[in-house]
Amino acid sequence: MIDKIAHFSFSSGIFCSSARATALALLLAAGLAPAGRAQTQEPEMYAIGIHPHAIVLLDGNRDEIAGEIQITGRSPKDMVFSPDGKYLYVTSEGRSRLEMVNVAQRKAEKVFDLTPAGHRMTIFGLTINPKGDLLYIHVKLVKMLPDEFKVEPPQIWSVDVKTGKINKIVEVPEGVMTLAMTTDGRQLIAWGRDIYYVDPAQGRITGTYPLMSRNLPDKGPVDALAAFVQFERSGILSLPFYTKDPITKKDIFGFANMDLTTGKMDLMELGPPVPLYSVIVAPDRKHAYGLMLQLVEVDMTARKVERMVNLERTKYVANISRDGKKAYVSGASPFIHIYDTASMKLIKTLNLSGDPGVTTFRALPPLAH
Amino acid sequence: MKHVRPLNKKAQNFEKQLTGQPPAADPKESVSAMQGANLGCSLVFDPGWETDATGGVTGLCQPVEADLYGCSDDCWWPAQVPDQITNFPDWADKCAAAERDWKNLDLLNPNKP
Repeated sequence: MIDKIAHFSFSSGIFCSSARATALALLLAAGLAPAGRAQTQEPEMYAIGIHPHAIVLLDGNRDEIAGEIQITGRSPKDMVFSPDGKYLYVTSEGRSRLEMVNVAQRKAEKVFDLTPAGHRMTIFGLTINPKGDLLYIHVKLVKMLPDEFKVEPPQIWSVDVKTGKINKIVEVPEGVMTLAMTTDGRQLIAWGRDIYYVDPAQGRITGTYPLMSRNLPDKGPVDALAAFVQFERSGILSLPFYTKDPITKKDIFGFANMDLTTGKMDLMELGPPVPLYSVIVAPDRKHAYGLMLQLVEVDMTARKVERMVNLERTKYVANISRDGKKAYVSGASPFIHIYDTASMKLIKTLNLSGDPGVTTFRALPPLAH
Repeated sequence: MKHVRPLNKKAQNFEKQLTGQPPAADPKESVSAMQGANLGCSLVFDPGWETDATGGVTGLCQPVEADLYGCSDDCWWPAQVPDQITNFPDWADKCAAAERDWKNLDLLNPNKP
């Protein structure tokens, strides 16, 4: 049954893989794609965390909430889908917990027991390798001694998704907030005060791209908040950044674009600051959209702001449809607002049962389709 | 202060501040995110969430209630909300959406056993 549906759905598509068939089966099981529709439309799913302890699934084909999954910990934060879309890994409970959510069964299937005895641990940054068997997390450990809290060096670990076995990869400087992996799986990108390239095989930092440590005669330090990251559609991890021109003393904002296919960084300066929390890059990489109080459209080729509209509410985080025609913006208030990227107009509002706080808004990865 | 000895960096900096000395700078350990930006939900920690960088409110999240969990979950407002990391993890469990359910936020009584 599943194989037949997968065949009918995907035989004419670019990707015709067992992963796609698995993903469709999962979506059908999760009630995300009615059978009739599934034969004509590829599944398009998104996940966002909400307060106090749930994951909301959004069906991008119907632009409707497809369900809520209760997790064990409060305040879901970093999230990443497994490459086949079968599982969603999420940090929760004050970033101290890592949970594995079975998407089709809509339940938290496993909680990884990671915190070393006698420690308090928080996780800032979560990603997965292309094979889907290893998670990478950036952890901050505090040893709870009888008379002292001893802060240990921040470090990146790998976690075997099947066994939960931990392997320490490397210690990193303070301030790392997010992790991503290049599409070839060879480099980890640890984004903090600066960007650190980590070779997980060698277990060392192989390069640094200066941000806050940038101090050139004509270029000031780069300040970027790496909290709301997604890059599934474009392969570009983009964040708004702010800096001050050391010569003119003028404030400047821009988009810091990390191409995860090449590992190359592009600091795109855009002019006088517009307050933004996050950025989404369209699948064709021609446009990007920043958001906070406004939705700001940037022409990535001309490297300039094209349009700007006021958002209905403050928004933290967003994602974009596979065809680039719809921007799903959320965070803060209990809504997902859908904007038409051509007109920059609000076309639909979806109510959520809780507030998405500092959470991520992830799309089912391309290879799962 | 004669009988009180600072033990950690924050306390040492506090003592230096009282005696007019500049606090010890340790840029490698300082928090950097959005520190240099001329924007943000609140750059004025007095008491924390009422004004933006310009002293106004237009740069704050709108409505301001919507920012509650965004700013408290990671303990960015340690003084403005209950200590949810250690002592009061469930203080907001009954308030799923702050702008809608704010009346359900728990009131904490430190004298309550």
